[in-house]
Amino acid sequence: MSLVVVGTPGDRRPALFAAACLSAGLPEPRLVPWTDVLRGLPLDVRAGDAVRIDSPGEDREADALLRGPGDPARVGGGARWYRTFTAALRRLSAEASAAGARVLGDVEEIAVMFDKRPAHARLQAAGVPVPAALPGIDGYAALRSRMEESGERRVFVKPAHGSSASGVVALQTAPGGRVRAVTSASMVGGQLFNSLRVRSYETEEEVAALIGLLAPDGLHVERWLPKAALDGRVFDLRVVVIGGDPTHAVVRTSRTPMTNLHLGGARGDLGAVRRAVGEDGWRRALDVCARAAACFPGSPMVGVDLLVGAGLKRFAVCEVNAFGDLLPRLTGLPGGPAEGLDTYAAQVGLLPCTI
Amino acid sequence: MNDERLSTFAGLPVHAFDGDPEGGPHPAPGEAAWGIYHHVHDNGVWGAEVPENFDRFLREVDTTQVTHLVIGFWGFDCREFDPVERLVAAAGRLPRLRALFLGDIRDWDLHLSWIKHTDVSPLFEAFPDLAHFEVRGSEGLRFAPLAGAAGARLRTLRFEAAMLPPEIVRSVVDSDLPGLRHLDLWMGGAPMDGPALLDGLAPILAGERLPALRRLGLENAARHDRIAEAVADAPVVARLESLSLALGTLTDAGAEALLSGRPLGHLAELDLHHHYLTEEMGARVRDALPGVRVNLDDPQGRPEWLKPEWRQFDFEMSGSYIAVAE
Repeated sequence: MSLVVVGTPGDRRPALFAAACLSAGLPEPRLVPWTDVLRGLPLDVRAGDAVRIDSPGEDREADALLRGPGDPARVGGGARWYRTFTAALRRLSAEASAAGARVLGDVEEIAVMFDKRPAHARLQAAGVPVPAALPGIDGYAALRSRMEESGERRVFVKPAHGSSASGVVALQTAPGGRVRAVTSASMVGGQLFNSLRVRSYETEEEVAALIGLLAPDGLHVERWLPKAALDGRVFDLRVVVIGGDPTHAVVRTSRTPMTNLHLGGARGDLGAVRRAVGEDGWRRALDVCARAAACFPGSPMVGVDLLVGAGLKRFAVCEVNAFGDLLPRLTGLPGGPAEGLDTYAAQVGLLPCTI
Repeated sequence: MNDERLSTFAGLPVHAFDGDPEGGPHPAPGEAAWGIYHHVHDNGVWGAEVPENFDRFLREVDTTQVTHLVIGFWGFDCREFDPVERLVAAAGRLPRLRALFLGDIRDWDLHLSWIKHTDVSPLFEAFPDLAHFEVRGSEGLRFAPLAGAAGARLRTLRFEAAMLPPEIVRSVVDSDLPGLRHLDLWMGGAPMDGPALLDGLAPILAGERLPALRRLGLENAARHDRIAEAVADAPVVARLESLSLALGTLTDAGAEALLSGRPLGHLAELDLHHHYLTEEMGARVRDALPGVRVNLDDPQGRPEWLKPEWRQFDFEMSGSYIAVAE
């Protein structure tokens, strides 16, 4: 059998995975470009192959195939992206099965992870702590009336299929109906673009226009929880769960309250975070991540974004990422099964051909 | 970054009056600084907010005994709740108010540069004992020069800003503050550059109209080396017990200027925390000022692309950042 990776040539992810395979004495995996999958080309997958599905990455060609042609810096097109992506995943899975190959992972789980609404619902149903969500919001009017009904003052409005901070709006309301939106998207001529600067919109007219531009691609709205701060920086955690075990963790910090909105966020000191939450708190944090990962039992690896509440006592899962392992040179937690290994080496160790 | 609320204010512990049903019993009205805040439950649900809590405070507390008051996050602007207007309207209920902090607003509530104010001048007429005034945020802020009794009773004046308007500095300079002991100005990335900034501060540094000043803070400043050079030659320093150039961008050049200027050995405290000094310079400052409590906490390391030749320009470029810029 041989290993096949679906990814983007030239991207760091397949290169790091291939390097991990080579150092484990495995042959270099065959790379099937996402663009081939998206174009519907016949796939070079054979009986006995094990197929790892990785991210299409930031490839412009793949992006154009997924979202349709246009400025790659634009925000939006998420609904089309999702339709194309999930259709391609399903074809990939069907062709691999037909050829007698095995997909490492579960394409239906990947599909859920790329829609924040069912992903949130699945975590909540399993009792995993998540920020409260306001479901069924299709535009600005619905957003404000649902916020009013439920007494929510601050919410995150996220594109249902967005990745990282793209198009995320941190929305606050204040007494008297004042509204303020902070986002890394900038409105230019009735279109939204990703911007390097986080900026704010303060008039109802602008905020309504902003939400109106995002809504057609689907919105996931959830309560904006205050984050914990250490040394004057707020932080959250990315915890990689491999084979059910939380193996790798990084602290992501920011000077602004919106860690994942701030594009200049930096890695923080994990030791300091562990000391601040205490050994018991740290165990609970990892347990929450393991439970979140267990909602996706067919996925050999997920990256859990874990919010630590302002009192350092509460945890909430913001997101579970199907391709959340791009953390170069980060080695596994001491005492854990991936101690000394990066996220890729840890996954190679669990491949059916190495066990 | 302001990520905690005040625990004490002007010598009294802050008691949060935030509508939290589990907030515990209230202290005696005259024995705490009353913090009017909003409450967010652990799970993120918002409880009562400042406008509502301010009214409850007036209803439920014997405010005639209250001397210290702190106002928290009241909203994005002052259209629905203008704290100055509300305080002035309630002045009859707060006859003993001596100390006021306007805007104990955490970065999470609203970044410093986003906090909006109105004209705070009416407060100084409305409260006949007001001797201690601090305000966080400067957008829309107006402050008319103080004179007469209002200026004479003032002991502490603090402005926290990400970009302090030159008009505020001018009003401070133009005020009669014969009893002022404590003055802090967060300069921020001031719109005044080099010469204009220093011209604006010159009367404060000369100190002629501030005979009682014992503490001067010129903090959170993007031009700290320039300020340090001016402070090094400032007559006012001789009467200070505490000098602060903290929260800013001080480098070895600024520290060198301080060490080679007028004597600082009489100070009880020199606060330089959040700085860009090298360890060697930090040690030199400590060695040169053995009897002074020197605060060199929170070193920021070396600004990555700071080059000395850039300092000669008035539009200084540097890789250094003030503590609270947003």
